[in-house]
Amino acid sequence: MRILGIPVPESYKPMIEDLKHTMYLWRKSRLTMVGTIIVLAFLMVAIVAPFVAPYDPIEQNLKEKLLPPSREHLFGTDQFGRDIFSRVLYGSRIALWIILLVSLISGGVGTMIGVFSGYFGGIVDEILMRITDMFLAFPGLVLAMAFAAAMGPSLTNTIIAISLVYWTRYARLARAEAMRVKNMEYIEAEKAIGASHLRIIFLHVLPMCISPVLVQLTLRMGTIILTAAGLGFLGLGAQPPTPEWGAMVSDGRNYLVDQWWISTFPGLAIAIVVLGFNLLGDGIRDMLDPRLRR
Amino acid sequence: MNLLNFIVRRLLLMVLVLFGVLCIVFIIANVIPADPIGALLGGNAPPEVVDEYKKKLGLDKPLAERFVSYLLGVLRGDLGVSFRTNRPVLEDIKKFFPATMELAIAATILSVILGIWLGVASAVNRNKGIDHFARVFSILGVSMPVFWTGLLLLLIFYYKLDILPGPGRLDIFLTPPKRITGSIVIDSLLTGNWEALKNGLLHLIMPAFVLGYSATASIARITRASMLDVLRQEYITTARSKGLEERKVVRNHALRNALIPTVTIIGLTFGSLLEGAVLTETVFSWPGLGRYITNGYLVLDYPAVMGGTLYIAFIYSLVNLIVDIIYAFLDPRMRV
Amino acid sequence: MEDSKLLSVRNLRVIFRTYRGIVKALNGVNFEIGREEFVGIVGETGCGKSVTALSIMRLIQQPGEIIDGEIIFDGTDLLKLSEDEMRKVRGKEIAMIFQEPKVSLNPVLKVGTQLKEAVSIADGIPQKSREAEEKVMDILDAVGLPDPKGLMNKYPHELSGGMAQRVMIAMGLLKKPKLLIADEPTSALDVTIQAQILNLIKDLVSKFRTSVLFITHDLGVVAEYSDRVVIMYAGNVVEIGDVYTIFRNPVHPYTKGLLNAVPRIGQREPLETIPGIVPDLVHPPSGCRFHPRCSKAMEVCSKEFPEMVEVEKDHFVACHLFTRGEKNG
Repeated sequence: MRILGIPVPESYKPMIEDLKHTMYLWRKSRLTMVGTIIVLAFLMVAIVAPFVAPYDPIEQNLKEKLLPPSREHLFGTDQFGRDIFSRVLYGSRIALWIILLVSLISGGVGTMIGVFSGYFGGIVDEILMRITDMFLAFPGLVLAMAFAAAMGPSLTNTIIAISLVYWTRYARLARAEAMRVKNMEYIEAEKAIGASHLRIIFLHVLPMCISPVLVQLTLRMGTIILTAAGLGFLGLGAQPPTPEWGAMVSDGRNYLVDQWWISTFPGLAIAIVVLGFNLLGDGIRDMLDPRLRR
Repeated sequence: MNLLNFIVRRLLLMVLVLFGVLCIVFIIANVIPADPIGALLGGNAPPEVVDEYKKKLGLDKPLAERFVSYLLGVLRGDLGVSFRTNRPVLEDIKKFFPATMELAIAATILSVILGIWLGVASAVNRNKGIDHFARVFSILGVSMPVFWTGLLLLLIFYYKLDILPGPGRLDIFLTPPKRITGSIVIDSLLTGNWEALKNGLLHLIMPAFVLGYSATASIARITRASMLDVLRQEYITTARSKGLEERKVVRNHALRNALIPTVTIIGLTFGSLLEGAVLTETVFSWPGLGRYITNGYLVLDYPAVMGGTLYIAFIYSLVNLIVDIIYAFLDPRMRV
Repeated sequence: MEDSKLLSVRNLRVIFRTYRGIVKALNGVNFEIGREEFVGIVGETGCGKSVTALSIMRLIQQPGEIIDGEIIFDGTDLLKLSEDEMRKVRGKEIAMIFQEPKVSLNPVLKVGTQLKEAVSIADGIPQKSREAEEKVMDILDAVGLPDPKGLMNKYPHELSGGMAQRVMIAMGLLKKPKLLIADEPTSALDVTIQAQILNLIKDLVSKFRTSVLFITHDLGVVAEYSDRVVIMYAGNVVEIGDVYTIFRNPVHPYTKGLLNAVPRIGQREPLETIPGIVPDLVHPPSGCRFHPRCSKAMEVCSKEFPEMVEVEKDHFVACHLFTRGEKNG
């Protein structure tokens, strides 16, 4: 067969069909497309913010404080005269930073723990799973608050705190996968030729676990933003003058009645971005569900 | 297939987990922070004052000893004394928890009823008007930050339109009912204080809706997905082939199967309600445990936050246990 | 003559709308079932046997749709009935059992509850009544299940495959149906259990005077139990006849191919297979859908769809070899 004029072996045909079907499902679902567009827009904004933002996000200008939205200040200004639009734009960079790092850390740590737990089984598994249970005994935000407060509120500590909460989800997932793979015959074969446990884990078990964990990571990105914004709102996240969206909403609380824009726009940004991730995540989940792929 | 066995085993597990929770809380409060007293008293406090405080609060003793004495304290019911309020933490918890409970229960009732109804209606009328509305409503619900929704609703309904009352559980000038359970609704009912009942309910509407919004959305989504899945199953075809009315097929066969994942979600959403309560209480100045803990964290009031967090984890675990039991009851295959 | 037929399916067309296009699953299916007759439908997977069965019960759901045809059951066209009227037919006249009995029963309800529900609809008695309970116990006995009382308190996942299928049969027979549709009821069971279940069905239908529409891909089963056979290929009926005639004198090239592909003890020649693969029903072959794989294909086969003709008494075939033959005398 040929793709774009290039000959391709026949054995690839099922994979290509599958991909075509995936693309069809992607395009067919309007909501998923909307989600994809939002997420891409978010990424773009985060990257180009320093070039596009009209004002410096932390520069104060008390002469221009508390101004309503206008052509000069699209989203108005806050009590320090800072341009909200620029702050929202820069806030996207912070949000992106948080998502990426939290995903990396919690995904990495969680997967490792899960794989070890699932592969070795026995007492190791029991202990690790009980520890996971203990972490899961706390509502997520509450635990994150505890860590953030204990370590001292800052952007870095927010990232660490949230990672410490979310690793458990990936641990469970990776463990289930590891247990499934562990029993497969080729693992037996590897052991028979004397491969060490570590080798088996890293070369064979781990790659199988990556895919479901990756899907979960994508699905969770919206939640990560919400948790981070929650911490910021409570004052336990990034500290002023960092333009973190949650903290910005909190800033505007005292001015809510007359200067509604200070709280509204950052919150809107959060809502839209989370919406985008959720739509995308839903779409991905639907596409991967074998029963819905018709 | 024994339900009792299952319950006993889970209870034992919960005890173990709670012990672990205690350890985690202790570590967070005592091991992680660099210098709690210094942070409390400010960086410029003279060393003698710092040392004095340390002795007073028992912080000069070795870690292990402090842990044991804390553990024993908890088992006795003594969670220490709050730095900020100077009252025993347990008393503070007793004072603030009912408000959170009232809010959480109101939010749960609202979201379960609304959520399941939306989910079922959505699934049965797939791709028609109600389905689209429900899906948009749901996806917004899990995307909008709780605190933002709260602020917006406050802005619109209280500040601008003045339809609903503002922050707090009761209007300021009203005398609260005699405190029996701590729940304004129940206490007003019990003492016949109709003013307070009406006012209390009005104050409850916005925070309960805001708190429950994401739960409603989650419940609706999972119910819809679950229902659609169940309606595709072979045993539904069997039920139809018996000549059963579609309405009865949905009610007697599909619903109970479809609700199984919903029940799990209800349990999970109760957890998210506890988290959301922290944020909602802050926005609506609701005097509950969430706000207590938040204030505690901001000033590093360690006994308060340890006790409060411990308590929340306890309640959360309890709810999860109850959900698991209900799950096992609904689905006989789960009683392993 | 027509009136004595219990079921008459005429020109049944069913489509499924999928992402790849419209699947023309049934392309004008025609056959009949007489009273107290055991009819086997044979064909490869995907030829439309199950779709036919579900269509008779009008249980085809989106994205499938019945777009044409008549299904005359006991004098009434089922396709013209209202949903309410069709429900009555499902409740009292036609019963259906499926391939995997354990997933055909509701996992969260007790077996007894589900059986009592069936009898309650069929006989119009309250589900919780003593009468319902007794009728269920009777039928469980009739299908050879020990300890009916204990069984009624069990959940489906506690039963073995064979037991579950007997429960399904019992559930179907509770309404004393005129027609029992069995969609590969033994394919998911062990061979030994298969025989038991088949014998059970045969016994019960003669006792209750029910006609059976038995769907399978297993020619051996068809040979042993059917009175008449319907051969289907790619959404069409290609040959119909009584079981002896079909097995001794198959005329359609596909039927011949099927029978030749069954290994016989002592056979030394290699198994003959039918060349090619089952066609894609989104873009089915023109004319006769079997023509690309047929060794006897003629020019007309790719142009015109062959009508069903009678080649001998009660033996019909849809093949141009015979339409031509007939025309030429």
